[in-house]
This record gives sequence, structure tokens and C-alpha cells, in this order.
Amino acid sequence: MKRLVMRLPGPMPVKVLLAVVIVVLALVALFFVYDWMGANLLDSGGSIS
Amino acid sequence: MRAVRIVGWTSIGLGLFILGFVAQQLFVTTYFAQQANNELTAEAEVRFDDVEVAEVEYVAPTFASPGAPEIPIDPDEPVSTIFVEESPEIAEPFAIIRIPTIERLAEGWAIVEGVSRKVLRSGAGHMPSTPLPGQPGNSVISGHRTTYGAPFHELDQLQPGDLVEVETAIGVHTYSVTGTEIVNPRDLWVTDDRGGATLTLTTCHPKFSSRQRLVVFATLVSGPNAEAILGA
Repeated sequence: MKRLVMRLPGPMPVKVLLAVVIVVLALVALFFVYDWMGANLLDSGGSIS
Repeated sequence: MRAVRIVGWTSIGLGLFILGFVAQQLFVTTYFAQQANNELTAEAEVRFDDVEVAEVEYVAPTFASPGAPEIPIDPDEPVSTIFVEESPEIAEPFAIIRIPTIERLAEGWAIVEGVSRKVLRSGAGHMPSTPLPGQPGNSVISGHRTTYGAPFHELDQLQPGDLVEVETAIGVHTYSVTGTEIVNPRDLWVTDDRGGATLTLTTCHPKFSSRQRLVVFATLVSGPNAEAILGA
């Protein structure tokens, strides 16, 4: 993980900031993927349409 | 050796992805839905006091064939009235459903207006194209079965004769379960008007799948509008 952070461009504070932004974006994307999977596979809410 | 390592890390990643999915869907969504339900229930109770309720004349719909002579209304016949409330806006909590025989719903769960995926994140929603609970016609309420608080998790335990209470600004409307059915998600006939005042609850079926729908049918037995609707 440390090696991946070190590969990011810019000085150390910029690398850390970029890493945090990437992790947050990844978690948001993961949430949407989970939500989509949940609605289509597990439970869509039970409505008739 | 490198291939084994790739397979190993991929398996670990996939396992964490699935574990995260299960945890997010079953626990995280339920936690937030339960928090939201407490707030929505309080909002619905505020609405009960604030919303405008009116008493209007009620004439039961007749299904006369086209061209049939119109039946004159007897002016001496007593006119029955029902209470109506202002329609809620989409995503507004306006009612509380209680089913004494189901532990999860014994304390009540807020019903919001709308059945979109976003609105149903709070657990249960009312189909806007159908009448509000307690009104003449078929009121349809949908709810999650396994995620987002899963208010309708144990809907399959309902038996004919079990009571379903829906509290609105007008009062408590009590319905009696008449039957259940498994249908496809596009079987819109379950929302059709069946005469009188009925309630239809829909949820996913089987548990942990959105392949089909479990539908519970109920009919109004008591409440502020019951006498007028049932006596008509």
C-alpha cells in the first residue's frame, strides 16, 4: 500500500491527499455498486410496476 | 508461483467484496433505515395533527352497463360521508402501519408517499396512483423484505383474519387479511380496484431475491370511513 502511495505524483502531502481522494471515490463507487447489486439481486423494494 | 499469488489475492479481494456487500446490504442499510424510520414516524405524527381533514359526501361507485337507465337519487335518502385528507407529497411520511401478529411491525413503521427506489430506502412506501389507506378503492403499500430495515420480512406469516392497522391523519383504519399470492413483479392486476376499501401489501419473494412478489390482500373492517364504505 505504501509503495502505491509513493508512486503518486507530487510532494508527500500531495501524495497523501491524492490517496485519500482516491480511497473516498473508490468507497463511493463501491457503495453505488453495492446498492445496484442489492436492488437487482436481493431486494428491489417489493413494488409492482 | 506468480500465478498462485495472483489467484490468492484475487480470491481475497473477491471475498472482501462479497463480505462488504452482505454487510452493507443487511446491516448498514437496516441501521440507517431504522434511524430514518424513527424520524419519519415522528414526522407522520406531526402531520396527523397538522394536515387538513375534510368530510365529503360518499356515493358508492356503480358499474351499470352503457346505455342503462340512470337510477335517480332519492333526495330523502340519508347521505353517507367519509373523511378525506390532503394528499401527501412524494417522500412525505403520512401514515404508520402496525401488524400486531408480526413482531417487527407491532410497534409500527412509517409509510412514505412513493415507491421509487430512492423513496423505498426508508422501508415502506405507498403507490401514488392508488387511494390513500382508509379511502374507497385499493390502497397499495410496498416494502423491503431483506434490506433497508426489512419491514415486510415476515409478511409470509400473515394468515386470513389477521389484522393490519394503518394510522393516518383521519384515524386508525383496520383491515383484515383475506389471502396471499405469489406473483410476478409486473402483475399490475394486484393494484386493481376490488370494490369497497381494500389494502394490498407487496414485497419481494422469495427472501433474498427480487425475482417475484409476495402479495397480501386485506379488506377494511373498521375505522372512521368503514361504516360509510361498507354500508354503501
